[in-house]
Amino acid sequence: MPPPRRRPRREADRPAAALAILPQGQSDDEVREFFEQAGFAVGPTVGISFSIEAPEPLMKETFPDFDGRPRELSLRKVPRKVRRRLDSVVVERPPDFGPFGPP
Amino acid sequence: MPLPEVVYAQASPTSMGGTSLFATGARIRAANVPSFFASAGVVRAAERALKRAGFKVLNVAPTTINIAGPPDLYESVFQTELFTEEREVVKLLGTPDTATFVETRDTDMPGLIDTSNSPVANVVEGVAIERPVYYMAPNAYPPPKAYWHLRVPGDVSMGLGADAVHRRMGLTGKGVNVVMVDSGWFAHPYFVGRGYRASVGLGPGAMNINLDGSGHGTGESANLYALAPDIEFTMMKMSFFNSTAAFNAAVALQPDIISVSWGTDVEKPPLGAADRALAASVAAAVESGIIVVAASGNGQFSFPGQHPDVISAGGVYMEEDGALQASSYASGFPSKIFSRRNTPDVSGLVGMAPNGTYIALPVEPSSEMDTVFGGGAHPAKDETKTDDGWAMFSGTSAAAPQLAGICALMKEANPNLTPKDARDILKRTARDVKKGKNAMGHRAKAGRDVATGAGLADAQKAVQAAARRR
Repeated sequence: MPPPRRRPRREADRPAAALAILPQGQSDDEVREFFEQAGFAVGPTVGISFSIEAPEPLMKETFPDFDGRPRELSLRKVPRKVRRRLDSVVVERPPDFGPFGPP
Repeated sequence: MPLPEVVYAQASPTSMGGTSLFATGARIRAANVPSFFASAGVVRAAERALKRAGFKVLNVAPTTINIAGPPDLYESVFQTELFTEEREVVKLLGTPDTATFVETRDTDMPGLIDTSNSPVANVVEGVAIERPVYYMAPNAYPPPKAYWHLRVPGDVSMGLGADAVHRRMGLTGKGVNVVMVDSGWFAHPYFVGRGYRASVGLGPGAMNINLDGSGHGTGESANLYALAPDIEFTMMKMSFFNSTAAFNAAVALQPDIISVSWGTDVEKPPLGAADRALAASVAAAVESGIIVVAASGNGQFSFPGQHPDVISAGGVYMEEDGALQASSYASGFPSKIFSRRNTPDVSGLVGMAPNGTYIALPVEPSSEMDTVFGGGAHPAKDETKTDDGWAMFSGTSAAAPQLAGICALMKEANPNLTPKDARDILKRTARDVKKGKNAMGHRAKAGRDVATGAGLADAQKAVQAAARRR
């Protein structure tokens, strides 16, 4: 593990982003379309996941419990027919090693 | 100064509010920024139009689309003329100096390209040329230190047997695309002076394309260049809260190799949702022919380092006389998540506990690595200054790009090499390590073991074996 941290140089705040995870074998069309139409920037689907990115107000409107911290986000504001095709949406926790996470 | 080979810029899709991001007199703040967002349809149309025009799209956000391309592409698409201009600036440590800016005479606003005479005029309201940053404060050479350590590129290249590949076989990674997913990349004078080529993409949620506040990605990339100096290198800068998404963005570039120097600590099942998604992404990448190299951890049960499809990178310490032993800083373990999976597969050069202070690596001055490792006595610290742009570190974070570099040499020797071939060859040709214990207490012994896998990778033997498989 790295030695204890001192005050490092910090970078500016990041835009709001999360990872949308699909059930295994599920087509991504309807879910991607929902996020695209809602105004999210949607990343490529690789395996069973793709990124969603939006200004923070839109992210909070869609996921009221979004606060930028690692967690699985509540899908209650996502339409039921999309929710059925979505496993989860998560803000990932930073890696345990490698580049250091935020303080 | 000549124009750079690649010019980076931010293209602004036409704002919903009717006033261009570049024409407004208002200060853009959180309260009014939504009126400068473009609709999702316009953003998609702008992205398509820019790609059709020939630009590489690095990142898409509601206010800007990050693009890259050669200067003449900008000139032909936007009917403009680009030139460079030296301006007085204050650089690191308050040093007055000049810097080179890419400019156009299209508008009164510095760096703004007028798009009205271009094929993207209906969806892009302006293109802002990124300001190139030339931090000259850090020295291109690492500070000398009395304790035993390795310097890039020479010591790392020689320790892994790559010098012979470079000189006798003439292989340096030319034409091989390698993406590292990490904390960012800073254009350190070390890289500039050696003429290494690099581009940076922003993973979802990541910002500040010219900065690497961590220093980790910048430093570890020097390990990759030490082995394969002529690769086509891309740093996919990740948001710490969106690492899988950054990995996905790397896969979408369809490179030959992806290097991962990070992971989560997962000893037992089940994998969490994000790790399951990452597992699927890794599997999809390898299935598509991409070689994925991942660090086995520095005392952690690393994931994706224990995924069965990756080349799992462990650590071997090379002493001053060339003797080898398992690194007491590196992980190696039988996976409890994936049955019959032992990590690592094979090892790179890694320092010893407590902190793996071993390889002098260039970092952004005052970045986290510079600050954390500097300012104290070896071996806990590295005895460099905390703002000098150099730090001595390693870990399996260093081993992963070293192995990725050897894979690039193998791929140049044999472009048909599959991920499985690459791993089999690395394991078959490694130098056995029979001494020492890894961070988990596993002893190295004759033959394969969980302390170092097959031992220390040998670039020369690996590349020769890859070439024979053609």
